[in-house]
Amino acid sequence: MINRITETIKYNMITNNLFEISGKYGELMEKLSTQKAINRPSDDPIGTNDILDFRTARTTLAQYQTNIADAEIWLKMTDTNLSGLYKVVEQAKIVAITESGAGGSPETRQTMAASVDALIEEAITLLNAKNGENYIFGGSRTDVPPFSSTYIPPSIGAVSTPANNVFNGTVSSSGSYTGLENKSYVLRIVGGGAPAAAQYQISSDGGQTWGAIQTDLSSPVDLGDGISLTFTAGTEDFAVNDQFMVRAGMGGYYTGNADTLKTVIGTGNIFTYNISGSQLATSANGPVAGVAVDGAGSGLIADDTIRLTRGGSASSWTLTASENYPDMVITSQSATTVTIDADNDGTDDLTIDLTGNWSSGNTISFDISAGTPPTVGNVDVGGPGSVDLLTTLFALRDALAADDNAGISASIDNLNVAQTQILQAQTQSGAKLNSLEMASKNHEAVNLQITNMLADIENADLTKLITEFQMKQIAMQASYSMASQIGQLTILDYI
Amino acid sequence: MADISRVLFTAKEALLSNLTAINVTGSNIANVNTPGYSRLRPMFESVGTKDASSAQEQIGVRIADIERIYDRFLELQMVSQQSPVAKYTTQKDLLQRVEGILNENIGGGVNDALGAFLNAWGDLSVDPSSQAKRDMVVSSALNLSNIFKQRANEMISIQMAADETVADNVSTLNEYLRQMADFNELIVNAESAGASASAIRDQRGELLGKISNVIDISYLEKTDGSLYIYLPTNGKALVENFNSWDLSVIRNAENNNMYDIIFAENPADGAINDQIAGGKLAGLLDVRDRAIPSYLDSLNQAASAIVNKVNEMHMSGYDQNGEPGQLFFNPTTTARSMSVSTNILTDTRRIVASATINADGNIAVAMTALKNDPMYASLGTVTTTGGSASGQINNIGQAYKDTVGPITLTRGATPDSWSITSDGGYSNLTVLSADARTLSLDLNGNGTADISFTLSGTWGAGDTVSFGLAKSANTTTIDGYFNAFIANMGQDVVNASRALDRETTILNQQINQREQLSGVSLDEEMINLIKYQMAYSAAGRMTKTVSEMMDIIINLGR
Repeated sequence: MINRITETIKYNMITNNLFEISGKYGELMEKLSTQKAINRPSDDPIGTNDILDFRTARTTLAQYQTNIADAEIWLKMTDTNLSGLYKVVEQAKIVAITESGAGGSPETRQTMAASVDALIEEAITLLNAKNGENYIFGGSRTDVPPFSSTYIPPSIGAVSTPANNVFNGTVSSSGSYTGLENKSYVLRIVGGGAPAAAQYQISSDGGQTWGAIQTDLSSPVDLGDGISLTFTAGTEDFAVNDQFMVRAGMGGYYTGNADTLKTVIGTGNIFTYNISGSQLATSANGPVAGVAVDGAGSGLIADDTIRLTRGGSASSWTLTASENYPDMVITSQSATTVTIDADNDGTDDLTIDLTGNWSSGNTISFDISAGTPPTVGNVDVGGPGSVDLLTTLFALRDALAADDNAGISASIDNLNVAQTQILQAQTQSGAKLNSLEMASKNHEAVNLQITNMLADIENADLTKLITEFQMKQIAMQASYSMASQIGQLTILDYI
Repeated sequence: MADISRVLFTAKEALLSNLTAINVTGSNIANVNTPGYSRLRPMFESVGTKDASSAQEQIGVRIADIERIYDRFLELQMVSQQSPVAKYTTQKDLLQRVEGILNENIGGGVNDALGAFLNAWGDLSVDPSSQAKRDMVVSSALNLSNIFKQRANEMISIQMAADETVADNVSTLNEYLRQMADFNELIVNAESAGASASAIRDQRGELLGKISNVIDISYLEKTDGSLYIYLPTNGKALVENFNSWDLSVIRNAENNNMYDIIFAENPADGAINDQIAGGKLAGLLDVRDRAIPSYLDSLNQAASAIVNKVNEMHMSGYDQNGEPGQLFFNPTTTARSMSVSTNILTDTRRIVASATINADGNIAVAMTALKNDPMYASLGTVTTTGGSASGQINNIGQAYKDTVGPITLTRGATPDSWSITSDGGYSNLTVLSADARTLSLDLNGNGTADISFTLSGTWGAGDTVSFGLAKSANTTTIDGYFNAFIANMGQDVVNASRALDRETTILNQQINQREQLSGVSLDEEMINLIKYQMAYSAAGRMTKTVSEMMDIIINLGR
């Protein structure tokens, strides 16, 4: 309780109150004019943290949406080109069917060979389509068009070395490539030194994964699949991170690779949006006759034909029951080897070495001739697979040109397989588009939610603010009028 | 026996005394707005006796004293309260300037720039060979590094300004202390000679407030009236009797060459920075040495985390020429020196988007998730042969990556001869320094210690230290770290502002209390004026009456 009011107390009280009210008035004015409840971190530190988190989330979502849109463009382009390709193959098939058997004559076949040439050209144009700087069917390779119009034999490219390699000797590649797809090999130095002492690692997937550390580069180095590198020392020894790169092609018309292209379409959701030419138009997915049967054991006592069928996985081979070998069992199976015990006596009689790509439904069959030692006949591989589209078209063209009726008929089957491959790719791209659409819708919903939450925190509640503003206005007016009243009220008027 | 001249004399005393009282009232009215003025009150005192037999039987009046209405305790409280108010005012002002720089709420800040940078990588991931998208990565990286640089530089300039203000305040304070010594002299001399020094005392009170505004002080009034002023934390005198001790500033090489405050006469006693708890100086020192360095540290941590993570990923892939990735940002541990590598600026083909020599875009994909990378890592179990070792992680967040295996170090013949047996995937791991008791390691080759071990027990050749690193249980991401830092900074402003409100309220209350007692009330003074004027008129009338009486007596003799 103040019992002695002095002039200073009066005026201090007035000014303090005025400052306080006008300070709050100013805050309200700011909030009203920016329409934001939080204009600086100190207005609400916790809210600020939330706002920044939400904004980050929104920016991220926007980027996911951009990525989704980009992938959608890519996939729509893929789809259009696949439809075009399907029509090209369809036309080639019509030509093959019309010209096969009695329907064709050497003259019409010659004419049709020329039209198949045109179809091949169209197919190559469609297969080499570009989106931005990328070939949509080229895997991750962007430096050359993925499909060539001439056959390229299996090849091992020259060694390329980065400009900042320390090693300045020479390096050359040699050998003949036995790989079953186009690959990029990288050799990197992990421990420097003279050729004999240098430690290195090899990658067969362009530098993504690396093999074990090995030593000694003084003699030719085997990179795998028949490639070897020969180093000749220069004035500078090897240093850590020196790299040597070689591209190898498996032969055929495809120069791209089987890499997948990915983008992020959600938190932790890395989405593959491309269909590689390798899958679409090469025989990479088909059974490649990489089968060798050896080790014919003593249990093979009768002539017979043995058939195996592959299930969904690499270790799901089944044997077709055999008359002469009722006890035959598969004793072990993996992606590379299947062993068979023909008489179930505990000793393996057959070892089947598998290479290349196998899929569900592929079959292996071979004949056994009893004898000493027993022998194994030709191995046939059958079942679903893929064909090289351009090889098939060229084969049709050549068969037409050569008036080779059997060749024309044979290409009909292959064209059917090629069409199935294209349809499968279209189904895949359609499924991918669907998942993109779902992800996009999901993001839209989340974005709406975040925007609402952000608005709740960040945006000013105008109704509330205006009410408060009016109350403060009244308080201000009261303070002003009180200030002027106090000035007027003085004892001097009364004495 | 009454004496007519005695009556006249009494009337004269009454006239003079009331005139003095009116004079005092005039002084009070004149000083109604003078800060620190303590109102004066005339103390009337009756003189003489009422002994009828004496010639002195008349009772007169005189002004015994002009009292200064003043409460020493209130004055002390008010002076002390100036310190926290000044401290928090300064702190709040400076922090609000920092807040203006780091105001992420209005957009265009680090948060947005980081988002734009990562999104540029996202765009690049779907078209790794596009020149336009590579250019976007570069320009967004430049923007990000510029914003970091600019924020850091602006904060440093506030820090420097605060530093200069420290020096200014010290020289102002010295001036005040000298004035205070002068006042002491004036008051002691005046009062020992019996004169009143109330005006000087009021001025001295004001000056005391000003001193307290700059630095927190304690004081006591000696019996001779002089003030003894000293620092409350260490009892060192600032003013004693007629002497003052100047403070001085000296640049401290260990604190970025910023000023330390010392006693001018005893520089050897060292800095008294941490003994200053109030006043503008405390506010300035707090912002300069605590707040801004901690903000800069957070900014640096965020910047170097980004620099290191981006570089680490960039160097793990291949550029558009199919060559192994080089540095993207120049290595740095400070936000103010964040910059994009010249290689990248001159040739955007050097930007690494792919994990292989082909254009797969996988590194660009990984970059977009950068902000979700953890800021911190933690040290796994440390196993040793030989003695024991306890490790500490220093600021490892930026150096951390998912390790492949444990890191193992083996000691050679001498304590400083540690070698790396297994680098656990940290190919740039180096032993920074080692002696009999310590072992410090640099994980990413940037020359700063990321992990330090303290060794105890007996160690010999061939003994090993082995440990693993793990993502910290503290799941703070780079992004979350930065956002939390902004929120903390905002909270600092709120705290300073609340503290200021609290201290100001207390000061205002004290001012009011002091005013209640010592302030001038015009109402009171006007009433007093009337009162003294009436008394003066009455005394005048009495003089006139006595004068008439004297006339009568003189006329009696005619």
